[in-house]
Amino acid sequence: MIGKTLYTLLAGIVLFVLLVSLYVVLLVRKLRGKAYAVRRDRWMNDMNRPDSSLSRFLAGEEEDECLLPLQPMHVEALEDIFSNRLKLFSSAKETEKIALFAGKHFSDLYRERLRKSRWSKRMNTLLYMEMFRMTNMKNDLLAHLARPVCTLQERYTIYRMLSVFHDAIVHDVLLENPALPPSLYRQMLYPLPLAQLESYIRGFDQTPAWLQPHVLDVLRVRNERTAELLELLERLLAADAAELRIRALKGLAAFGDMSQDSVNLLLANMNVWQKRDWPERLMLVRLMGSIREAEFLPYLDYFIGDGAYLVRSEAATSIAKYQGGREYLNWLSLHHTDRFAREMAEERRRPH
Amino acid sequence: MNGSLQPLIYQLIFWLTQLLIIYVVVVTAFYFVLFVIAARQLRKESGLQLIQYEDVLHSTFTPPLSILVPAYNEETGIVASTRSLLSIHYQEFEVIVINDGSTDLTKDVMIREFAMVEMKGKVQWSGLQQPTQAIKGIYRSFRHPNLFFIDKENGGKSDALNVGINFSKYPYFVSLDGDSVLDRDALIKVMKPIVEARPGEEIIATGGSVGIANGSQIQSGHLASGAVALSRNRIVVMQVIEYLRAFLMGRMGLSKYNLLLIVSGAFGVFKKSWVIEAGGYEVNTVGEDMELVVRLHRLVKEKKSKARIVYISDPVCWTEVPENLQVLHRQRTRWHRGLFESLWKHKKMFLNPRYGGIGLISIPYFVLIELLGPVVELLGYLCILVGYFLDVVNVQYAVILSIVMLLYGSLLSMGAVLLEEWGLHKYSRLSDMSRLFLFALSEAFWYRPMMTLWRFEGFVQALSGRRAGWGEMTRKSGIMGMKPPNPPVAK
Repeated sequence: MIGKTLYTLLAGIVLFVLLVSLYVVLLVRKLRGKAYAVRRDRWMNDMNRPDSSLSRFLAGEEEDECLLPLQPMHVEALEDIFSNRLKLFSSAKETEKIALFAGKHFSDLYRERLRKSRWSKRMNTLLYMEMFRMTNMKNDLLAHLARPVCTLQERYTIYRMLSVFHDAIVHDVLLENPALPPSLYRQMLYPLPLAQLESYIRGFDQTPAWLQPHVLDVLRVRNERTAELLELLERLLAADAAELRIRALKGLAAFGDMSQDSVNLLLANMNVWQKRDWPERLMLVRLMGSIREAEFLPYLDYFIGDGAYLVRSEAATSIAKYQGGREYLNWLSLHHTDRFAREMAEERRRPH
Repeated sequence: MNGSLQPLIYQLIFWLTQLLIIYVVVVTAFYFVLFVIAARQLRKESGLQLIQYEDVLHSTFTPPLSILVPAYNEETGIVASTRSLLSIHYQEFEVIVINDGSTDLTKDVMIREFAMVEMKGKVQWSGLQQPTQAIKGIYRSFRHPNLFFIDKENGGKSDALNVGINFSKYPYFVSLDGDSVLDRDALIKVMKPIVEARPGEEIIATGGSVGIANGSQIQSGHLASGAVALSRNRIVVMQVIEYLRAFLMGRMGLSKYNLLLIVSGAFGVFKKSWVIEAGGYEVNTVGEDMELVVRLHRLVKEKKSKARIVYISDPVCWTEVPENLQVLHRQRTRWHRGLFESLWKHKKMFLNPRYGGIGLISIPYFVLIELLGPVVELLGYLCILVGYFLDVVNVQYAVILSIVMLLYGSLLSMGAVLLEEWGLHKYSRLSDMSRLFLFALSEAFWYRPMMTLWRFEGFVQALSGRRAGWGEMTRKSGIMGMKPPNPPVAK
């Protein structure tokens, strides 16, 4: 019994020592952190002054000695200042100056940081490299990709950067990886040069199925308007996959134009479109508001009484876009045979 | 004492003590494992900069969200809450405030402040197989095209959320308490795991840490950066320690292996299609948040899906906690009833290998440690008391063991404070740190016995079948800009 009591007592003493040590560690950590933050904030405030060497440098002057990051604290402060400026109000010229500065003064440090065992240090480094557009570190990024320690998050960040740097590897990554996050495909496609996107348009049928919807999304968001793209979108209205048809409708609505042949084909197949699921009907109605062909109006009359609220609402928005649309909505609110359609027209004719 | 009865009692005490020792060892080890898992994860992510969210914030491809805000008698705070939600950092979202039959002026202030007009003809059904109370009117704002207000008959928070799900148009929804204060980047943070999920890696729900706002100042509907301060109220300080332990240790540890059974009702993101398939929020239950998550896990296993429910450590949502014992007592008995109801409803999952880790680890943990913990603890006190009178307790050893357990509990609490320092760094003052340390040491003497008794009371109430409506919460004017709500209307 005495032995058991002794062991328990010993365990208690160990726990007590651990507890007090933990408290002391936390206190020291807080104290050091506070002191560091005070020094860093003071340096940052100096640098943020309108007449500081940093402000003068970003305004176009040459960099001077005061700006050189001599201590880790200076690097951290500059990272903070640069990233805030890039996020909020940086001009193209300033962005370029920051990239040049980072390339010149941070590269060695970042190269070293990429070899750290701590994941968050490597990840932060990659995020700053991405933000500062450090194209000079392309080879380091490729080397890091080959390291076993490179995690998926790091890999994805590097892919995004290589895409911004228009590296040829991006094409292979896109075509050979069917299991990347959908958002990553789009982030990688978005910064690519138009010529490369056009190659996907030309060879759309040969482009892997996992990539096709993202190509269409990115072209729409970038507001690309080429004859080839228009022809592709019109052709995809007859695609087997609803996902592609929806994106084609959305893309055409954003494009704001369609050939007369395609308009005729759309009108001829309207009975088929009317039976499709509501997301397709919604996009169709949006397209009719964007193209604004007089032949579409009777169909918008029909869709404002659609079973799905969102389709009715979109139909009302589309009608309002036609010349005299508001007056027509007024008329519909009184005379449409369908009660839902009358209510929707009534709801939409009120000014926003 | 009767001579034949005495050996029997001795035997009973002996075996009970053996069982209790095994129980304590298992619980101690389990908490230690949770701490180690959480510590490794937070240490890994420690120091990760906020620029990691830039791609989600600025991407036009981030999935749109519906924010559901059930409100009951929130006339004083609802306008400020809604304004703060409308100013949140996110690409595309709609805010849907659901007035659950408030008896105050909630409806009038919303319609007046946001210039709302009635919408007609929208069929309020999304495929959810759950009847809801009648909707009296649906309104949209002229000033904010993404703001909607639904006025309905009183039916409880779950019913209000179900109505919101039916009305919402986006594929993900956020469930929120009317009094929650979100960080401006809250939605970006909770959506990041969803946005970055790979094909086949579906994430059906995410939750984030909920922080305690008492003691801090809210500016323009948000908690300003660096404005987090520890309240002077000792009950609140103990709850801060509890929250840090529960969120940073418990949920972080369980989430790592997809074993998380709770996404806080104060703030969580859900994939709508899964919630609809699972049947939406269960009405007439106290712990609707936990019940839904258990049901989602069940559905995942039954569909043999690899879908996950994840937790992020960032404190993205702030809430006010009780500052007096009366309200705290009410809250804790209510929570324990909710826990009982959720676990009872899904009792077939208990130790059922068909449900994998959820059936074999999570549910048993919640049953044996969380639900039955107070019962076992009280039994332990009883054993010591009876043993003392029967003169079978070695007092010296018992005292030393109690001190060891006290130190272990305090060490875990301080461990949670360390995790806070690694992961969140919200409590920056040295005095706050010292107070957390002292309160962690004092917990076993007053707070823990109190909680044990209240949780036991909740357990007994649950066994006797007591039900509850909206949670009653007395708010301190000036912190969240709220006044005490009227008592809920029984339905």
